[in-house]
Amino acid sequence: MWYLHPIKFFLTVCILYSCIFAGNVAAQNAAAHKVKDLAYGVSLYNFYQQKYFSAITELLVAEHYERITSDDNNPPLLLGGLYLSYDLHKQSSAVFKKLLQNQELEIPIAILDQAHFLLGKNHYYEGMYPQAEEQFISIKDGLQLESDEEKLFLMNAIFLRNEDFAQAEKTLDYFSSDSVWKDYAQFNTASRLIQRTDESEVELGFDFMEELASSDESHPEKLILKDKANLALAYVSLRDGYSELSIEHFNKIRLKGIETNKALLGVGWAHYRKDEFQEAVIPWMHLASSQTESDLAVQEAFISIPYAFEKMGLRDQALHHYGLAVDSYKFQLNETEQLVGFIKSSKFIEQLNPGSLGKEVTSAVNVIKSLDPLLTQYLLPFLSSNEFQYEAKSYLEILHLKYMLNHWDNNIPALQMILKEKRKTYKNKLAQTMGDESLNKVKVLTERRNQLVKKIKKIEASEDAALFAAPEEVEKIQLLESSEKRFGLLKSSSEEGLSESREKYRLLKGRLQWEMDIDYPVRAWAVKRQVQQLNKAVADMNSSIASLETAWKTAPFEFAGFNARIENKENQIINLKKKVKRAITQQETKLRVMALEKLRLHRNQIKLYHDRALYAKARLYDSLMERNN
Amino acid sequence: MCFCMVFLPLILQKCLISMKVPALKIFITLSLFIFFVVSSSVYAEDAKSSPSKQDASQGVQQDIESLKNEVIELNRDLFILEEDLLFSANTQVSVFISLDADEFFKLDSVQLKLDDKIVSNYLYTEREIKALKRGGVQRLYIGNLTSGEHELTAFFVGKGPSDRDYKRGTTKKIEKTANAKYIELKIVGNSSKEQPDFEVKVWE
Repeated sequence: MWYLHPIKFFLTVCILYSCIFAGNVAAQNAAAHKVKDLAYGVSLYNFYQQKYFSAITELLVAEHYERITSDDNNPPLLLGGLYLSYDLHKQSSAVFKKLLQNQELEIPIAILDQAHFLLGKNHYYEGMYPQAEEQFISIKDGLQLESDEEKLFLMNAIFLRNEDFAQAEKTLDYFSSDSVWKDYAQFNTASRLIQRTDESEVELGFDFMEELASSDESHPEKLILKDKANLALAYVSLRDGYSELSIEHFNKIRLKGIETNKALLGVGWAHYRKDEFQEAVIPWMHLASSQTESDLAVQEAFISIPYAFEKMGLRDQALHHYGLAVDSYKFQLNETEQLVGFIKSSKFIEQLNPGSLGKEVTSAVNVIKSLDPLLTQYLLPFLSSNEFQYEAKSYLEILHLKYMLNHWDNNIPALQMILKEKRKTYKNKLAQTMGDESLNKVKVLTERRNQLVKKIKKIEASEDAALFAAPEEVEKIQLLESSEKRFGLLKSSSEEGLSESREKYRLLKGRLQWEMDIDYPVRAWAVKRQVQQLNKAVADMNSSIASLETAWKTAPFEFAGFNARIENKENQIINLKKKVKRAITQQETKLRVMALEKLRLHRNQIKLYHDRALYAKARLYDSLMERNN
Repeated sequence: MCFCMVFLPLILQKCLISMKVPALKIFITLSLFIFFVVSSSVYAEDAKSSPSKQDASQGVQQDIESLKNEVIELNRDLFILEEDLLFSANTQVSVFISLDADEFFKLDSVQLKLDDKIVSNYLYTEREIKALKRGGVQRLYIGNLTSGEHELTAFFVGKGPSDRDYKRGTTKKIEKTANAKYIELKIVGNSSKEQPDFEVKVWE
């Protein structure tokens, strides 16, 4: 498991909380304000809040509905990155592999490089180092600076694992000069080289460590590394008998840092080695009076003080301080005994999840704040360690899964009810629609339209312009026709007087016919256009009817489909809830076992100090008794 | 750590037998050195971790990964089921919010009305604002509308220029068709007016 790689907490916390996302985030930033796809943007909204579960779901739902339309390959890059951030390495690798294998798409180098980098990271965390190296080597020059430095750091770590120190050393040259990644890589390289047997390698290791130890940077992480390097050099000098040099290195360590206690303890021992017992007691006294009694360096100081007093010949003071040390160890053994009970109780687990119901968590940093102060007092390094943080995060993530499953479990009855209502509404509507008169009207209207079309075709065939006559023209035609009939009746009476009227009639009839003949093409076209519109209206109407008929026919199947889907999901929820319950129990046990093991080690150390102090106290009593006798 | 646990009792035993202060001194210095080496070496623990313990731990971790993936897939399916059932495409309307520039406006809350009926009131957290600023898009509302014309009104409340309380509204007539409607409410900075602008974009 990747977190078991003992890159110590200051390194790993950094890797876990800043680096995993840094590359992805940087990649997204450039296009961040150009909303190409709403669905993509919604996923980003969750991603930026480190809600990976929601972000992945959004992206998968968008993929299902084909809502992401932009042509670039950012969505798979985002999805792969999200899987990686959510520690789903297999899924993440699959997405990146698919993206890289897709030869048909013209993928920009920057995206390809980012995919290689993230796939390499996946392989690294899965312990597949050769594959990780292969991916890192495939990167051209499209990575952003932060990702590039992280890549170099990981490559350095791979070379160190392979004991390829020459390559590991070479990687250090490629970092930018002020890179914090370089300092981490350099520290790791130096730590490994110092432990080698080859003299030149050891010397190089010391050179690297010296460089870090004399750095004048003010970056907080670099300062921690500087302290760490000075501490390393100081203890090595102390081991090799160079007390003065070790004091120099101890003195470079900050008084308010994570290495302060170890430095104070060490500086005391450096003076002790020089037989400067008075000077040795000063930092130890400082440690003993600090508020961090549970720190093992402080424990060591408690017992070291009387040793120094003994050396100075101050036996009474030594006896007194042995007594104080024994009391302190006893007190702490009692406290840690209580803690064992606390960890075994349900309260420990309850405190891991204080009121974060339904909250998507991305780190367990806040967990420490809500834990019992006594627990943090004794186990702070362990609680801050990547190992615990990772397991606690996993635990909180499983709790979130439980919350989601409960949420859906509660929503299933609502979905069933909605489906039932839809069915009911459908039945009611169906009955109403079937009895609706408008359906009959549709048939009548269609018939009338058909008759009209036939009539128009007949007119066109006969080319009788009078059949397209306007109402006023029809009136005129009727008037002329009645006039003609009257001419017939008046034929015998006054033939002479009628001739003028007959002439007028003939002219009027001719004019009317002429006007209608002239307008015939226009009128025929207008009628045809109206028929076309009518056809469209009838087609729309029939389409609506057809759609309605389809709905009538398919709705029962759709309802059945929904019902089957709901039932299927309900069963899945039940099964997954059982799995989640088991996983929660497993994870709780794991966290308890881890905490108890760390506490056991701590208690054993205190017990050792206690026994030694008790023995020394008895020894002193004996010698004092002998002297008095 | 294993090294310490194995050898320290032996060393202690030796010290107790000799009962000499210098021996204790050696013990302490040695234990300190071991403490340092263990705490600062980079890969030491790897060799010491027992493989069976690692395998078991890996197994549990794989179970958790598999569980997470299964729940994600179920969650996806249920979201799709819910949307298919409740918000069919011909009636669906979704309203989104994006923040293009925030130099003239710090968003606190949004109220959304559809046809003069409040459908959403949303109060933002600092984290959500940061996500919007970085280019995230929030889905503020999803619901159903009948075909035809509707009126959408949004009120934006926050801090305007010179950190003064600021409330602005924007209205838009929207035509709901047979297709799903996506509406984006955009908060954009207008540097010439030194004021924020609130735009409504209807996505097709």
